[in-house]
Amino acid sequence: MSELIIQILAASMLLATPLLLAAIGELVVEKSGVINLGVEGMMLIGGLAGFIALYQLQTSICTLELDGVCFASDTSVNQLQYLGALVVAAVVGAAAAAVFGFLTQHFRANHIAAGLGLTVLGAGLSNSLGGNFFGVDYTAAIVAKVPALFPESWGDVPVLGPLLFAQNLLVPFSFVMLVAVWYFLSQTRAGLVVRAVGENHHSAYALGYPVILVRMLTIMFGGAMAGLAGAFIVIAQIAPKWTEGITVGKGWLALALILFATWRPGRVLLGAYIFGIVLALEPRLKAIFSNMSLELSYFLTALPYIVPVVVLVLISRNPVMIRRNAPASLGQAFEPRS
Amino acid sequence: MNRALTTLLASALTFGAVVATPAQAETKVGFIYVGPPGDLGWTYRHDIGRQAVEAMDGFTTTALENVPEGPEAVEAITQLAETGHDLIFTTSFGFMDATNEVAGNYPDVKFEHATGYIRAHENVSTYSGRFYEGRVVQGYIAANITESNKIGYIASFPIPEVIRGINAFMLEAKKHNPDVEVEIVWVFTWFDPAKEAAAAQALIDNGADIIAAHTDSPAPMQIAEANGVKAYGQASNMSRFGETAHLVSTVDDWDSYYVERAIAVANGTWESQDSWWGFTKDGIGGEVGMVHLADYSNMPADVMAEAKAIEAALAAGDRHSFPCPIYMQDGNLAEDCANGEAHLTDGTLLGMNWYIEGIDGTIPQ
Repeated sequence: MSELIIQILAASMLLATPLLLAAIGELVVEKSGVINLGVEGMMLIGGLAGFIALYQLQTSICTLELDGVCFASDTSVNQLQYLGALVVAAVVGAAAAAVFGFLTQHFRANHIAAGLGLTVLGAGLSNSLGGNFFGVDYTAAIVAKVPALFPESWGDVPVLGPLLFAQNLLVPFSFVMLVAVWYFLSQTRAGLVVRAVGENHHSAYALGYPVILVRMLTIMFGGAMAGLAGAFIVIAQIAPKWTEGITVGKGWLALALILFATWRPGRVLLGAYIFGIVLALEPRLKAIFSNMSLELSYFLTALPYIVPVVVLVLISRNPVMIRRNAPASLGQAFEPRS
Repeated sequence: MNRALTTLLASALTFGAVVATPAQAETKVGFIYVGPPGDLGWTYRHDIGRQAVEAMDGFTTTALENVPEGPEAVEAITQLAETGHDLIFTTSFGFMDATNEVAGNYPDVKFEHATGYIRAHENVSTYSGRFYEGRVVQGYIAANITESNKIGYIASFPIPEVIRGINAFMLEAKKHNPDVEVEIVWVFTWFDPAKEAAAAQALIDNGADIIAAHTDSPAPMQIAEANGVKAYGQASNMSRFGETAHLVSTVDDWDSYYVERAIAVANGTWESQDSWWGFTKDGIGGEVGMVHLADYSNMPADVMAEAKAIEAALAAGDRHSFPCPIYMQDGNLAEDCANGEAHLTDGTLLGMNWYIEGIDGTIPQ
């Protein structure tokens, strides 16, 4: 029984981490008064960039060479190369976000339209670039599996083994970032400035804070986190493999998660793991209860999506809850008054 | 040194082809895809078939990717019909109504719908592969190499196509190892790597040491590889995702059908028909069909030899995938067998919505 619980927890970590990473980033973006619906697109672009970087960085030793052409090779990846790929994913995610930032902050474009545009751009661009654009068909490229953070034998340690030692670097990182963002937003002066910009950009501007710069920085932070989330899905969640449209809507779930959490970091964590646990439970319940009816089976599949909808409805019935936590200037274009 | 020779041969062939091309009107063939071709899976294999048509002289092809199923597909199919395509393949079940609707408006254009059954006009054909023949061989292999006697099966949707595969697999597996059990997880998706991976992990955690999947991504194979168990490739060759896990891949093979139908249009001999090809076109050892098995690996030599023998027997028509007697889950003899048939009829297979005896659980319906 306890083994089953640990299996479910380990599986839910894999499923929750990309949502958590992307949602932490978007949380900061929204706290500064910007709503970026392009999370899905940034995840795809960042994920592809991380995959390409890892493909280029990995150690490859040719084992079968004929006439100077390599027919078979042994590839391996170490933590440093993986770290390099993650940096690339974050930088490219931030760059994609900067496009959105430039449109919305410099040209004061509508946040919703620009964000949707970024989603479409991210999907299309990653499909094209991941094809044969750079002379390598990355949909067919093979990249070695990333080793766990700790020695493999540690994975057999009860409880801590599967839940910590066997996990990917980004899993503990997502917790560290969550605490860091909570601390930044609620305990630091800079975090206060970000929130002030999100609550009332005109007042913040009158006080001398660079509203547009602050928002550009948060937007790029959000992009970097989305890029890492994409890289986790492409590289670490299963095994490294680039597939067109591999995120399958996880970016949208990250957005829903923020509403679910009413812009509070602790609740983002809760929401991500509720989602992860439900997703991890679903196949296990279906395997154990093989006489499940179609209705129940469909219901289980839909459950992770129903929960946010129900919670959103409940939240929206309580306007005080929204008003207390939602940034007042969310989604509004800022034009300095002269 | 071989490369120089190959290059020489290739250029000679190309030169010959260019010279041989007669000046004639080209036949335009269009394809509607439900997803991106990518590098493996359902749409990829259709695109390989398209390339086989494109490679012939006198034929050009067009493909529209990511076309949504349902009424929205009408626009895409019409676009191909309007732009002078003589033959249009719509390569997903969900294009059925749209294909027939557009076909009614363009009587001079030929339409071919994959995996459907409605041919509302004389210019519509339907076609599909007997993919269950691959499942028979998979079932034999599983029965012989499983140690836990537990097979994990990731099923997409409870439709006859998928149920047929489960039955074919277990019918053969039970024949060689009565203790074998199957655990089925319905994921209700054709493509969602994270979901397929979670299902594979759950089945392995539950004791399965062989994973069969009726979904599109290589995620189940990758999870099997990571857990040190075995798995089969689905729709295309997935051996590169499971160096130690991969047993055999069932590969969809549309090349010869697409080439045959395109040539029929060019020659004016095209007629509306329904085609259902297995390992061979006629099921009795004729030309190559729509299904083949690739890269037998990671199994003892005797198992591999017998598996290949079963594949050959199915291809030659020496045996059937569903030979009588077949008992249903409730213990009753299947109707076809009771009626004295030697094996289940195509009609029964096309509408299959019941498990054979020995499979636990109910089909969600």
